[in-house]
Amino acid sequence: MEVNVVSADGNTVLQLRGRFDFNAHREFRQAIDAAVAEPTVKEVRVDLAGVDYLDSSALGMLLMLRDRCKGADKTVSLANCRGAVKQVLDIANFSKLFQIV
Amino acid sequence: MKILIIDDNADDQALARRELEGIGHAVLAASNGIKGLELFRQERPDVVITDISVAGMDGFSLAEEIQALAAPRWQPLLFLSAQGDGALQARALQIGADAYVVKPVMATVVGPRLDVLQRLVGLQQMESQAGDCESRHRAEEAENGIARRMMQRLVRGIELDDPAVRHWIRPAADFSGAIVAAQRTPAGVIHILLADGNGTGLAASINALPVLAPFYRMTEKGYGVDAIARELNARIKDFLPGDRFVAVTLASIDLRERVIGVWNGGNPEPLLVGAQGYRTLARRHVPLGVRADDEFDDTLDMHGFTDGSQLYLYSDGLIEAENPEGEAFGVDRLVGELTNMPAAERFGAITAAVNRYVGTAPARDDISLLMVECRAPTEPMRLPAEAAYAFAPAKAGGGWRAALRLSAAQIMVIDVVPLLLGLADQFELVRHNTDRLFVVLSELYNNALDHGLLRLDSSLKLNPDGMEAYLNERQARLATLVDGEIELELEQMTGPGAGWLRVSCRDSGAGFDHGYLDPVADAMNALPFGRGLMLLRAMCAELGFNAAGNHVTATLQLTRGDETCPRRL
Repeated sequence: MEVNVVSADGNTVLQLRGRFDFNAHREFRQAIDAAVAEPTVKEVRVDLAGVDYLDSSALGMLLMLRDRCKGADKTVSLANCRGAVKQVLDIANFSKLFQIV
Repeated sequence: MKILIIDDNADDQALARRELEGIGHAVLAASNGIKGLELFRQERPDVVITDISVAGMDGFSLAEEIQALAAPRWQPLLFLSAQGDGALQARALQIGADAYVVKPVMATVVGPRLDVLQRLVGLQQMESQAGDCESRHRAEEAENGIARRMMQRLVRGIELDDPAVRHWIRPAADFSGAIVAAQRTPAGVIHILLADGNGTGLAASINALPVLAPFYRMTEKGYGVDAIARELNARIKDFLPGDRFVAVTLASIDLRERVIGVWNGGNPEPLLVGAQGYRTLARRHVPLGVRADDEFDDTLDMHGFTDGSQLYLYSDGLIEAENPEGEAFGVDRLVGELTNMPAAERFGAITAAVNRYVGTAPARDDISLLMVECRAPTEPMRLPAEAAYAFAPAKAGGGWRAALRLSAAQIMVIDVVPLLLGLADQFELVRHNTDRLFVVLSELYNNALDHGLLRLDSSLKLNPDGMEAYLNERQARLATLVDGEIELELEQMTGPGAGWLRVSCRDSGAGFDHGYLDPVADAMNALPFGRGLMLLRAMCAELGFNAAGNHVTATLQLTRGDETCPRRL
């Protein structure tokens, strides 16, 4: 998976591309570290538009992001959830845990 | 009484008016038959007094017309005549006159007859009111009957036909404000609802009704009971007048994971009864329809259970049910029945005890009781009977099968899921389903690898930074893996509908406890694991484990590109 981090005006967007599973762990963690370390960032948005596939380990990583952001007083939202990605998030009831835009 | 005099002789008319008004009657007068009929239509007098020969019409045909107008009521009628003629009198009485009076009209003669007629008129009014009343009552009964049948269908529809759920309702009135419902989520979790509208009868029924449709719809979509409680609250707040609310208890029972989540707003505390005794699920919320959405608390009361336990939900009508002496049944009696009886007899014992206790005392409130047998299934998950899926390998020559066995050396370096996905993508029907096949393959493979071969413990994820630690540990163990193998197999199956794909995954590990889930976490959503299994259950028509837990079979329905993705019921 490719992760592209774009920051502007206190917002950070993590643009993900490809297959979001165990193998994406390293890239995703680095992106989280970058987003959380920046004190001016108030909102972290995960853009899932380019994600073809997503499994339960990706859900775990999203929760990891949520915990880290909570600790750093930042909000997290998930954007552009479509098709099977949206289905997986729905089944896991993630709309209760994340703001989905 | 209101009396209509029809007489073309002005002097006779004036005399009659004076006499009758003198004894307290209201008098209308007409000088001919046409005017008389017109006044009759307009005024509907209690008594008509008509001359036998009035201008424009003879008195007899006038009388017949008046009786026809009054029908089906009987119209009291008196005839007046200047002479006493026996034949005329006889005819007058034949056509339904009540008396025949020879002029002049004298209060002393006519008065007593009018008194008799007045009593008859009074009687007739009472009778007709009673008749109205009766026909209104019958119409109401008929409408109630229709409404009752609809309610019964709604409340006791097929959704309650779950082998793990039992219910009992004893309504106080024809309609019950008590509603019970049960349905399974796509992942097979049982959701139950027990609602008790305030009041009894039709009004209470109507109050409780708006909860049903959202409960079924959201359960079908796999929402949790906390989200359902929030939605129902908003619905009821919108729908009902401010002084109305609905006591509702919602519960989710995940039989495989042995976890119960309860949201109780306004009903007595549910009881979880096991072999070792009982537990009161004490967390209480205010009833639905009281709080605004931003004040609403959807926190669930989470509990684990041991197999063979029973969850009891009931309305306050049960413990407040009174015997003929006016004493309430009470919680202690209920608990007594629950703890003294073997599990199989408890439900029947409670209903019998309440019926016995109440006896002939009038029912004050609706009584409802709902019970779920909490026992993890020993069989692989079965489909509902009506689906009757029978999967068979596609006929020789028509289908395909691919198997891949990897040893530790390859597992360490090969990314197997995309490999198999690329293979499956070559088959036309599978091509439209690779997104779901990815989830199934990924979950099965990772489960086999993490728990079968790497022996990672999911509870690692419960620690702070647990996910991080878990992922690091996984990486470390994978790098040093020397033993073990994983075998994945894809096979096209025939079954109802377009096509099916069976994905099997077997590993050389010792297996894992697929029924295990830690019940200490306080909400299903917050649990950091068990999610993969949840995804598999939601996406596959059939999911089976061997007893050891190292061989899993998942059957996935293949859809054409434009169809919506099917889910298990």
